[in-house]
Amino acid sequence: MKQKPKTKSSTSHHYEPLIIEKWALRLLKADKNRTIISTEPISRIDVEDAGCEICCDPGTREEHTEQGNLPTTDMYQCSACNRTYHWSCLKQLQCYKEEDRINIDAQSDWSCPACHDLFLDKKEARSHASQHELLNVTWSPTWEPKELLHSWASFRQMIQIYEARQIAPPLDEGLDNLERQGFCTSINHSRWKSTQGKEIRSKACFDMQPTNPHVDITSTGHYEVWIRAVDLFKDDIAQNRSPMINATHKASLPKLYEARAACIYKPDGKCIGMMTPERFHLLR
Amino acid sequence: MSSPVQCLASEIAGLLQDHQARLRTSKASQLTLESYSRILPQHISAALQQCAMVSKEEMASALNFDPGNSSYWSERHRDIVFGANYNAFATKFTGFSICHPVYDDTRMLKCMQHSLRFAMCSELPTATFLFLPNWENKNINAYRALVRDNPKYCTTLGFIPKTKLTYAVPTSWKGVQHNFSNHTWSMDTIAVWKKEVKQRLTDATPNWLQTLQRSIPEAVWEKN
Repeated sequence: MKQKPKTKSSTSHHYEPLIIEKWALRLLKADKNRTIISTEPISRIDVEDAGCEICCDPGTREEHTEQGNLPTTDMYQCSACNRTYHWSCLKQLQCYKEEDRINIDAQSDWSCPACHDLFLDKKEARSHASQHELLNVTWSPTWEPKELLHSWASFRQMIQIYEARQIAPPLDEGLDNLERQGFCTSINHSRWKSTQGKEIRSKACFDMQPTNPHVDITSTGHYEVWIRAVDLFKDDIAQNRSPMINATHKASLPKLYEARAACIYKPDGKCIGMMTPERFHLLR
Repeated sequence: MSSPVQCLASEIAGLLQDHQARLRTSKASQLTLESYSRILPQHISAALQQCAMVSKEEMASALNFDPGNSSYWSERHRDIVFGANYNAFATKFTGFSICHPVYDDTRMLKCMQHSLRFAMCSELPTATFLFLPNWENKNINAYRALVRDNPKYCTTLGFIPKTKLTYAVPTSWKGVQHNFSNHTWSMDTIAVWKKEVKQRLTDATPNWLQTLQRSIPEAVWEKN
């Protein structure tokens, strides 16, 4: 990421990924003010809201005037090169007349004027090439002058909506200002005082019991007895304890072994003890 | 007033927690605390059941009673949910019992007094086989004075030397199985009974003592 300039009135700008023709990449790289993070090939047929190849506008030319909010019906996609065209743009270039539209609508594999006269193998070659002609380019954020915010009305409106949503957390009335900032002023201070607010503090639950991941289970809400294999160890050190560890008396590790045991669990899933399965069956 | 029984798991949890709380108490010595988990080897209890008609166990708990006995007495009142009887000292004993109390001198002396009282007073045949640690300095064994002063009722059958004395593996633990410190005592086996009771036992099974001696080979037996 670029270093923030020393000018105070600047804001961080994040750019949406841009879909460009592959040949245009060198033009983007020439722009010293933008840093390209990644480029990824994208198939032309996967591009949503593709623009017209003639006017570059992705919007419709007909819906607003005659058909209201119906889906776009005047954008035609070439079955060979997968490029898109407005019907009105094609007419304007005198490629077609209005009466040709019925025939074109009836065709399932319409080809644009550029591909229309190609042989089948050439069409297939163009279709294949269309999968690699575009690039999805992502940008690194830049620091732009703050005045830029005011040049875009809708963006300014979005900022106002965002700032209105920010709700300041309520003050912790149980603490004075210093305590709220993390300083401990009272003599009988509590270690658990925090600046997180009394609501969170009332919900906090401190688990003072250590958890044994080898034995403990998820809380079930009631007492449980599970007969299961557990790892136990024998501490022979107690039997052969030496006051000093030296060349003669070497330190030894406890011996680990697996055994079946009846583990007794509290409602919170903590194992409070074990007993031999035989003893457990005696008590039943 | 005690809370009602909810389920087996909660009762066992309570049993373990009481046991662990008892082990944490600072009033008793380490030796006494460890003795709560010291259990006689099963073959000793089985031998007494087979040879000496023992069917009751005093000073036991739900965590260490021998299921071979028909009944056992516990100091923990709640153990009655596991089939225990409560408070051996408040019970008039008859019949043949085994007693292996915790290693607290006061408690052991009380067990001996209790056994003597019912051996003397009971009209029914009553005998108690006590297994008591014999500290190396015999003068501090308080129960020894009672044995010495009541030869008519107390018979030292033998003792298990400290080198051969072993205990059964504890049946419950928390996290790590118990590791006892090495014991420095031998174990006395004392029968508290009337002469008539001993005779009745011999009449019923003439070689009961020999069988008992064979069944507990690690013990050194007195010539009675």
